[in-house]
Amino acid sequence: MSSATLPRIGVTIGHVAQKLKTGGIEPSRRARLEVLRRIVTRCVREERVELKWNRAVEARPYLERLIQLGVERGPLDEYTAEMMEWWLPERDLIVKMHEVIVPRFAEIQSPYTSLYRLPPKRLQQFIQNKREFWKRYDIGILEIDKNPFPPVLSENSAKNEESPNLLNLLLTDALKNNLEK
Amino acid sequence: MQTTLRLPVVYRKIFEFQGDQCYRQQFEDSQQNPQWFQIILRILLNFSIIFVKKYMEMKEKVDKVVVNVHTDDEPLPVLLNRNISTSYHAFNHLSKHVADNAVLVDVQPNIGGSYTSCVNQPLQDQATIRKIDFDSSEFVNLLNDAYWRSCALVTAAILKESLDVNLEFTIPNIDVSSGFFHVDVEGLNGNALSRDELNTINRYAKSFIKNAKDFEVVSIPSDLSDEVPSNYIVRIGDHVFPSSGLVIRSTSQIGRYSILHSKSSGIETVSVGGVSLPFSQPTSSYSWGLIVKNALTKYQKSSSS
Amino acid sequence: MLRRSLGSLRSFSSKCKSEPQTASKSSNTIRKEANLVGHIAAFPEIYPDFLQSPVWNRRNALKEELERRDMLERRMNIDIPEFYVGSIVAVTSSDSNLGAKEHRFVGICIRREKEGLHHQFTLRNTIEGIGVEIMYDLYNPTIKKIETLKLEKRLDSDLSYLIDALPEYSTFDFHMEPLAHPAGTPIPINETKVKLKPAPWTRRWEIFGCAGIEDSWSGATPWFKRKLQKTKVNDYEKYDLVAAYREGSTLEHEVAVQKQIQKFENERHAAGLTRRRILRSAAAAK
Repeated sequence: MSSATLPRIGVTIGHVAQKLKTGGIEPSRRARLEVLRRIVTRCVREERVELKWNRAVEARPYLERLIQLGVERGPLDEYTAEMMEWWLPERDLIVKMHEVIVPRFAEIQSPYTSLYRLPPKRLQQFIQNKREFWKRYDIGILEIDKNPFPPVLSENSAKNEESPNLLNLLLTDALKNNLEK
Repeated sequence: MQTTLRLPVVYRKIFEFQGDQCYRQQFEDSQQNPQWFQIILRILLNFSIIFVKKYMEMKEKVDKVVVNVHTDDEPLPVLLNRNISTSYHAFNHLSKHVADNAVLVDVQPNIGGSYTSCVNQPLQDQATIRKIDFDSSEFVNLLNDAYWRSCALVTAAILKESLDVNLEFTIPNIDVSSGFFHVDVEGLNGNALSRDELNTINRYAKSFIKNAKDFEVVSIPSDLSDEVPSNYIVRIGDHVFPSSGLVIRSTSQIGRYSILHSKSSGIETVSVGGVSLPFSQPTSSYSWGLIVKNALTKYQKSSSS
Repeated sequence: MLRRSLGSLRSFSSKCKSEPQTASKSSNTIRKEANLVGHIAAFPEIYPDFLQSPVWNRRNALKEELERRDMLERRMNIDIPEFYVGSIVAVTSSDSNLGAKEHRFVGICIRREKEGLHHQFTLRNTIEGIGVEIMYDLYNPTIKKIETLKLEKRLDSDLSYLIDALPEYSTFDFHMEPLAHPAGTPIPINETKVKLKPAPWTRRWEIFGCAGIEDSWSGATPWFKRKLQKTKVNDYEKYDLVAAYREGSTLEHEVAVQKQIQKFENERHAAGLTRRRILRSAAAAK
């Protein structure tokens, strides 16, 4: 790596890698990367994806770093090219990354992605002896910013967040006074 | 006085109907205090004029009224007893959950302008009613004021139970933005409560609030406004207070609650301040700690009124 | 509810980067700042001792700050030149047990490890047919002088495999004349590929993917090859972007440290105590 050091990525990141369930693949570090690769590929193609929350949290730094490599170093850099090739096995996605996604974030600081939490979902797993087995999943939305879709949070939600709701009033006041000290 | 003679009859009849000992207790207490006696007398009489006289006749014939309860789909028509049934009863036709969550009611009568009332107030006319809970964004300021007032009233009731029944309270109008509520107590000889006492009272307050006591409300007719300075009379448990505005449905709607501090605010009066959050607005203990700390600082700084 | 209460927080900490919607609006200030400071591109290689620990829960801002001050003070007393793994370095350290009271060792730098005051580098040479490796603490106060005899890099950032290489690759003349590096030219990369002695080796060099070893695969026995295929191939690890990010340095940290070094230098120069410069880069010099 001859190029200069990169800035931090502006997303929360744990200090160790988290294990992920790998479905059909035998669990290993390779399998984990494979799961993440699928997510990153899908996210670059679709720009907004709905995932299990823990996977979205884990995949976000990878996506973020990949976009950052594109933004900071460009397609000609050797390391960037190698990473793009591995993380985006579909050729057209590498082109899309360099020609569509990266230009959106030129001269802009990280984060380039957003993560939202959705209400948990209950899904039926299987039926055994006429008994239904359900499981609860935490769901997140991972998206690349400045995508053409309508925003996840509506315009009003910003207003709601400054509602004169009692808890909000008291907490705002408390924090303000706490900071002034 | 002629009214005195009529009183026991009316009085007995009211409570025959309501089957409640509390008003009786209050009434007997008030006989020592001539001024209160007059007021309660008039209220009761008014009760009789507006509602109760009819209740007596209702023994044979109860007047019915149809009230529409606002829902997401179509309004639900509910048959109620005029001047007896409250919005709480109406909401119970929808579900108990809705009824328990209702904090205030938006009433749109078929004749006349709409107004907001308490959940435990009897309905008088045909109207469409809509519940207001802590999640509604429309009446937030009204809700906050009602909640703050209710908390002050609960504080007064708790102090009355834990200290002395003969205490006198004034409940000042405090804006929510000040961060705390307070009540002024007369009858403690100007002695502020110590930290230990406040801790004990706070412990008692928890059980008091947990008991889910309803706020029972009587609105005072305008012809009595000269004698009674307030618009409503509120009963919480065994205690009756005048109130200048709307109150919430029940103490079960109070979540975190803490009496913070007391200080003497005059020769005779002691002011007791607290802070609270609704049950439906839960918060972490960290945030609550920040709120309490802020309220305490602001209350201690506030000039004694 | 939580979001609402957090929403009220936002008005005070508008810098929370992971908040949606407020994201991606700030322009790239850190790059501008780096240009302003004159950030040295090869900072992590020249000053590995000023980096943060790759283990995140060992990072401690106060400890790092205190160590950095001690390191700067030490660098005012001794000239620590720029050198890389692969450079030929001479270290003179004092030794009370020797007649000359000092000991000079010349060798190729094969490792630089650890951060802060504990930074170590290892020199290797062959003396009378025996390989000798000496590990020096960079901030050891008994070190009197460090000279870079030949400034160059090798193909790898860790040359530990020289221990199993033929001795000719780690034999250097003790009386070697220092070679001056022309300022402003990039650091030359010595593309020597070493031949290893026959196995067994101290470590399984063939699985580390070292670029500076010539054909380690053909010499391996079939038994090794089978085993390697089953378990040991982990060349996919280099694609773990975030693992690399966790271990690597960040521009923010480097710019902050470089600023601190510049400020320290300027203060000392203004006081007229010294003319010594800490921050130097042969490749970036004008």
